[in-house]
This record gives sequence, C-alpha cells and structure tokens, in this order.
Amino acid sequence: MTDYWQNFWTALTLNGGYNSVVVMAGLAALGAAAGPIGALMILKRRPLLADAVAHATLPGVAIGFLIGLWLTGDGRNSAFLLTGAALTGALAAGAMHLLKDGARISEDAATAAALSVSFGLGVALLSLIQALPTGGQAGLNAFLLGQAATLNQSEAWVLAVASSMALVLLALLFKEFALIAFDPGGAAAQGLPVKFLDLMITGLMLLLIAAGLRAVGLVLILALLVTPAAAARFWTDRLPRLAALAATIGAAGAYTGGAVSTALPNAPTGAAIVLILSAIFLFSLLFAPKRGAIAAVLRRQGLRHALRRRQILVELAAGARPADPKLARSLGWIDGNGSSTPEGEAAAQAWLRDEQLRDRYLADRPEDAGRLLAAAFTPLNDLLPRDVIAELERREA
Amino acid sequence: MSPDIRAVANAEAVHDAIEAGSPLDVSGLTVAYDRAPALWNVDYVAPKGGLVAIVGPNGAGKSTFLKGALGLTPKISGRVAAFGAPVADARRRIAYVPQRESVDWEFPATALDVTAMGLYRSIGWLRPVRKKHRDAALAALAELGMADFADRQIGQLSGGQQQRVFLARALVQDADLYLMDEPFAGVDAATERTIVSLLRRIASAGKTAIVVHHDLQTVTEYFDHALMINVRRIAAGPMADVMTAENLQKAYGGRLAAPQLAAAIG
Repeated sequence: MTDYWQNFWTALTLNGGYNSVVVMAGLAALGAAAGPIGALMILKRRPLLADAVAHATLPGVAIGFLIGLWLTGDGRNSAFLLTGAALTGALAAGAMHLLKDGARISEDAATAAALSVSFGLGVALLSLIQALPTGGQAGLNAFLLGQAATLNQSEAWVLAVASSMALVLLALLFKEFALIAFDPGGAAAQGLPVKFLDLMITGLMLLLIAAGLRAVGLVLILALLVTPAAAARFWTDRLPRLAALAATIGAAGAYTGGAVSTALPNAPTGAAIVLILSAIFLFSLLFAPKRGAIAAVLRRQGLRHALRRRQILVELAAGARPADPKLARSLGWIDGNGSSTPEGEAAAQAWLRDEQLRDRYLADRPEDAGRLLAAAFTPLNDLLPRDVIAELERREA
Repeated sequence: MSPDIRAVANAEAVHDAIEAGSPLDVSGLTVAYDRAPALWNVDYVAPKGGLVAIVGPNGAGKSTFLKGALGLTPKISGRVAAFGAPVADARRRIAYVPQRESVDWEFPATALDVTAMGLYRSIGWLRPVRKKHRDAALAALAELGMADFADRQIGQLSGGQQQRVFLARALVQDADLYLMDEPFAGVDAATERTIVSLLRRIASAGKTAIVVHHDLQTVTEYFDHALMINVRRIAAGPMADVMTAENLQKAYGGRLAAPQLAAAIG
C-alpha cells in the first residue's frame, strides 16, 4: 500500500521522470480546456454531441490500426490511430448535423443514431482486429477506458501540445463563443460568423477528444467535458467565472486522476478521473452556498419562518391578536399584554403598502405572478426598478 | 491629384452615397421555411429617421421580415441594402433586438454582461471587455431605469426587466438603425412607457427604428410610419395612409373587431 502512495505522490509532485511530467502537464491542460468547452456544450444544450463524437472515434482508431498495420507492419502508430479517430469523430458530428437539419430528425434522435451506429461499427472492427494474427491489439483497449501511465513519449507530447493549443484558442475566442451560445441571432446580426464559430467549438471539442483518447479513454471522456462545468454551475451565475472554475476543476481532476493511474497501473485513468470529478460534483451539489442542496433546505426553513412572520403581520394589520404570540413577542411586535407595539404597527403598515403595490403590479402583469410570489418575502424595492415602483405608488394614491 | 487627395475624394464620394441611402432598402424579399412562403416578394424603403411599426396578423411574417432583412434567415430571393451598402457592410450601424423568448434567460450572465455583449463587435476579436465598456453598458442600463439591477442574474429579472436589458444592449451599440422584434410583448405598463420614450429619443436623434408591433390600439400613438404585411406587403408609408379600413380588411380579414378597427384608424 505504501508503494502505491509513494508512486502516487511521485507522479503528483512531478518527480516521476520526463515522460510522466509531460503526461501530467498534458492531462492538466486537457482538463483545463475541457472544462470551459463542456460549459459551452451545456449552455448550447448539446452535451451529448460530445458523447456521440467520443464514441464515434472508435471505428477511426480501429481503421487507423489496420492502415498502420498494412503500411508499416505495426498497428500501434499513434499518428494513424489519432488521425483515424479524429476523422470518424468529425464524420459523426457532420452526420448528426445533416440528420438534424436535412432530414428534420430531432437532435436527440440524430445523436443517438450516430452514437450507436459508429460505436457498433467500432466494436465490430475491434473484434475483427483481435482475431488477426498480429501483435499489439491489447493496446487498443486503452482507448476505451484510458491508460495515462502507459503513454509513450510521442503520445504524451500529442496530448500536451494539442490540449494547450485548444486552451489558448479557447481563451482567445471565449467572448465570441459565449455570445453565440447565448444569442446566435443577435450575434449574427452583429456580423459575427456564427456558423464558423460554432464549427470551431465542435472542432476544439474534437481536438480535445482525440488528444485525450489514449490517456482518458473514449467511454468516459464525456465526464471530463461535462462534469467540471456542471459542478462549477453550482458556485456562480457568471460565465467567465464558470469557465475559470470549470477549467480549474477539470485540470485538478485530470491531473489527480493521472497520478492515481500512475500509482495503480492497472486502474483505467478514465475511471479515476470520473470518480474524482464526481466527488467534486457531489460536494458542489451539497455544499454550494446559493444553489446547493443544503442551502435549499435552509432556504425552505427560512421561508417557513418568513411565512409565520407574515401571518402575524396580516393579523396585526387587521387589528387582530396574533395566533402565535410567542413569535410575535420575540420579534418585539406585541407587548406582554398581547397588544401591538409601535414597531409592530410600523411593520404591519409597511407590509400592507408592499402588498397593495404588488397587487397593483400583478393586475397589469398577471404573467409575473409566479415570479413575484416566489419572491414574496423580498421587499418590492429590491424586485422592481424605481420608476416602476413610483408609478405603482402614483396610481395607488 | 496625389494619391492622398484622391483617397480623400473617394472616401467623400462613398460617404455621400451612404448618406443618400435609405437606412433599409428591401426589394423582392421572399423567405420560405420548409415549403410554404413566410414572406412573399416584399418591397420596402424605410424613411430616414422616424419610427416605423411593422403590423400584420399572427404568422404574417413580421419577424421573418426583420430576420430576412438582416440575413439571419436564408432568403429565396430579394435584395437588401442598408444605408446604401450591402447589409453585411453596414452591421455596425444596425442594432437588432430579438424576441425575448429567443434566448435562454437561465444563462449564467448578469444584466450588465448581456448589455456589454452589444459592444463585442466594436471591442473586436481577441480583446477583453474593459472598464470603459462596462461603464458604457452601465450607462445604457441606467437610461432604461435598470442601473440597480446591473449585477442581477438575468433569469431573476421580470419579463419587462429582461426586455429593458435587451434594449440596453441595442442602445449601447449606438446604431443608426434599430430593428426590434416585439419589444412590447408581455411587458408591464411602466416598461412600455420606458420603451416609448426610448423610441422617441431615437427618432429625435434623426435615427430610425423599425419595430414589430402587434397592438393596433397603440400603434398610431407610438409610431409615425407603418409597414403592413400579411405574407405579402399590404401597404407602407405614413401611419394615416396605411391604417385605412380597406388595408386593415386586406391584412386581417374579418379577424378584427370593430373597436380595434376604430382605434387603429383613429
């Protein structure tokens, strides 16, 4: 066991030798680029496109193996393998696009079709290759679940260089990518080349998938794209921060996962990364201050308390005795005899005014009822622009 | 003439040509989704300066006219010029306000972030949004009474507030032609007045706004020109010439109740 920790620590602190350092740096860059790309895919509501493209790289890997075998006598030539992977991945992305736009099939159906057809083809080709009387087939399994520890030098460099390139391009064009994700029509009206930028996002995603295939594996690389952004969404409402956080989570997850797989050479890197990222996701889901599950429970309790306070204000405004005198007294709204204090009167009057203005506003805009009700305990001053409130007051008076 | 002088003279000539051009000159615009035409052979020359309402029944192609004119929807035929140049060369002078429902308001962005998006083209490629851009966006938000909501996530805004953010995004572009798709749809009374005063400021600055508007009760009050379409062009010109009982009958058929008719004709 101590050996495993020793190896893990050696890889994590970049003391595992030249190859290991390149792999670890490459994984960090891969994760850092995959996080923001995944955020864009989620915002464009197309996260499964990444999954379909990743699975569609398998027939390319198999074909690359066969061509390498035929031309050089050795199938394990990473140039052929990765080129094949990128080509069939791109083919699947193109096919999905055509199916959706040309044949008017829903995007889900097109994605499912591309994924199953290409992955099925890949598995069939793979079993064909396993039956060939040649060596090196075993290495192909690494493409399924990833084996970061066994990357050779050229594979490590491909991972590091391609991921860094994607990261730089992404940073340079992120402003435009964000705009086309939010409002493609508005972006086109401004004169941005929306189709080209869209293609760039898909292209960068494909580049990352191809670069990370050998290290992370095609089955689980979707997690590296989508989970960091999903986790980051719990912590922020702003895209630049979301992207930065997703990049950090992705880099940390891929880096640590790489170290784990170095320590346990039989553990697939993809699985290690997924487990680490899932832990971060789970932590975010539970503990994020605004959007987390625990915060939601606390908020619901706060709401219950606010409802009880409001009930007292209703009773005070109507001149009645509160049905919950304990809470009313603790708020200082009634005195020991049960009659209202000046503070109680003021609070009841303020509540009444707020309520009347709300009613007035909703009379104009019944469709906002849900939103206004959801914010029933937020003072109106924080909900509506000043001119709207002034207008409501003018008409109320 | 030295090359410099020739360049200046040439630039002036181009400038004059653009000055002479209508903000939006559309001829023979035909757009079809699938098979049925959404817009059929529509001609329209917008006046220089002023407020134009695009009116017509549901499904008449009002939004499609804006999208077709901007090249956002592939057109089957037709020619579109803006300020005497192809639309693609005049984009910086045009601000477009899409329908509010066309975007996902759960998007992780604040009102200020969305407003600043109007500046992305003038900021340019590879350059970040700087403080002066944020200040300009904040000023545009303030003009629409939204300064207090600049840092609010857009999903937490009401419908009227979201519309104001979209208008601020257009305003910050400092365009000469504004194309707005149903800005009045589903907004509160105060927002409606804010939009009207924004439109008046646009008009008094000598600029043009072309606005899809579906409320015939208010169209004569808010706008001074109209383009009436029902797939084909029915009428266009000064409000009084367009809003005749005959044209309304042509565009809306029997769908218009008498009070609406009376209000529209004035």
